[in-house]
Amino acid sequence: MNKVLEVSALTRIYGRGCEECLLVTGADRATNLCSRCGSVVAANAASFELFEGETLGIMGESGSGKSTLVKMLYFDEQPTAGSATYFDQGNTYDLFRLNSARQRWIRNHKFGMVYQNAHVGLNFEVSAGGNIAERLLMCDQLDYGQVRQRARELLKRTDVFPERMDESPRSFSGGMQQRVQIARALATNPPLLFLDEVTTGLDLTVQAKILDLILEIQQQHRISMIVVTHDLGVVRLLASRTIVMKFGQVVEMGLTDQILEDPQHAYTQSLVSSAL
Amino acid sequence: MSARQKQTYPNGVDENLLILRTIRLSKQFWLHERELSIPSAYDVDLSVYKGNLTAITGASGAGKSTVLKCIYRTYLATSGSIIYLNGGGEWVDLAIAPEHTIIELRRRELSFVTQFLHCLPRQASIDVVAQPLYEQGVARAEARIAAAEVLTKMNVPERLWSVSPATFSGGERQRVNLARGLVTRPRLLLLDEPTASLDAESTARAVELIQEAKRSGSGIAAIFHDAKLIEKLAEHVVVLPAAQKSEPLVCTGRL
Repeated sequence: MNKVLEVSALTRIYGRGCEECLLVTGADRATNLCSRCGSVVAANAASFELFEGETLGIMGESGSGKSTLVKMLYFDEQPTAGSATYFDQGNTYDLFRLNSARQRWIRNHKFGMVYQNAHVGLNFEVSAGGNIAERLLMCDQLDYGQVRQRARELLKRTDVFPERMDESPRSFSGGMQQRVQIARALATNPPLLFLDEVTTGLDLTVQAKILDLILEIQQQHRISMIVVTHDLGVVRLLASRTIVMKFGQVVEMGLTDQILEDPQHAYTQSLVSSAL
Repeated sequence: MSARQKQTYPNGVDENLLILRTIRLSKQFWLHERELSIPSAYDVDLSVYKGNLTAITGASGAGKSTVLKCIYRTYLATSGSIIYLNGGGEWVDLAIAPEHTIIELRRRELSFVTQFLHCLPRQASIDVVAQPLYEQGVARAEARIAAAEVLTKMNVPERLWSVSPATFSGGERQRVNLARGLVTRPRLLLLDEPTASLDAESTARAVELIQEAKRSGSGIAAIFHDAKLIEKLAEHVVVLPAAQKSEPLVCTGRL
């Protein structure tokens, strides 16, 4: 099996930070606030691997650092320390040592991201089709007719009426906005997709449709995914392996059914036992 | 040794056909919040042979399901080994093998029919059964033909194939579940009371399918309560002793 991503001791500290930040925070210390310098440790030396075609779940409550982790990998945020290596077609990219132009290239060509909040992932000042076109243009697809055709196909595929492609996503429902985000993320057929709480806050029926769409993408392409969620049902459905985070640290990692049926860490046990 | 279960061997068991052996497999659950250790399976030795069925019996709470779940790695074994001969001829310890090895084995050669079928309430039964084949990369049309064949053998009426098993009776659902487990002709098949909610007619069909899986070379470990079924299907029988509830267990936490 081919490795796609190797994340090693990835750390993000908000604040000035000190030598003791990592030592006095984390799951065992039950805080992510450094008692010495007052910095917030959002990600505390998190390490994991991702393989081709695999969906990895990242589970944890609000503030556990799971979103911070994927935002760093998508270059939305700078890590304080640690590394991430991306493997693609025989090439190896040390993600945080690349210059910003190379990082943008990777982000546009190789990665896709769907945010919890569509306001972050989409530009509401341009049309739904324009949001998709933008991503294609960044990948040097410049033929107007072709770009429009591709946007139409993607919207159709994600179940958004192509007749509405010239409207702003502002006028769309929450579920439709997520579909436009997914269409946008898939536009360049990226090998790696990040999904950050994509069904949170949606109606159950809408959630089900979004999850079915993700399952379909999973089955049709050998795409690797990282799915960030606090919803046990979402990891059960989508992820073959899951990591559990608490106060910035990875406290447990395993096969998803094992995490849910035989959780080892005290926090995972309480999380699983609080399921409805 | 007196407390340990015994596996009875028929005369002349061919050790060359061995594909799975658990060696002193034990499982305890450690509940952090209540600082409580719950013993579930203790020192279990069992063997599964190619084309043979090993029946696991014992009282409720003796850890029968636990043993199967440890083999499938839904549970992490507390101690002991689970050695398995994979299709490539290599021995793998399922208790400690890397997660990706387990994922690959589950996709290619391991199948587990649990007591309850988990599936999406909007997935057609035929797709539920064909799913393991989809995951192996078999074309949809071809996978559906194979699924239809097993569903027919399992006596699931064709009018139900396009409906989700979520709406089915217990017996119908169990038949779908069994069909799904058998559709890939797994090298190692784990069955947790596969006939528990079936009527006589369906049980007979299930027995026929299990026999067919054995003839095709599957090694099977199965939990059965019905002595007649064991007699009919099993070459080997493992009896797990009842849980030793009175014996206090020293809690040392988990490694």
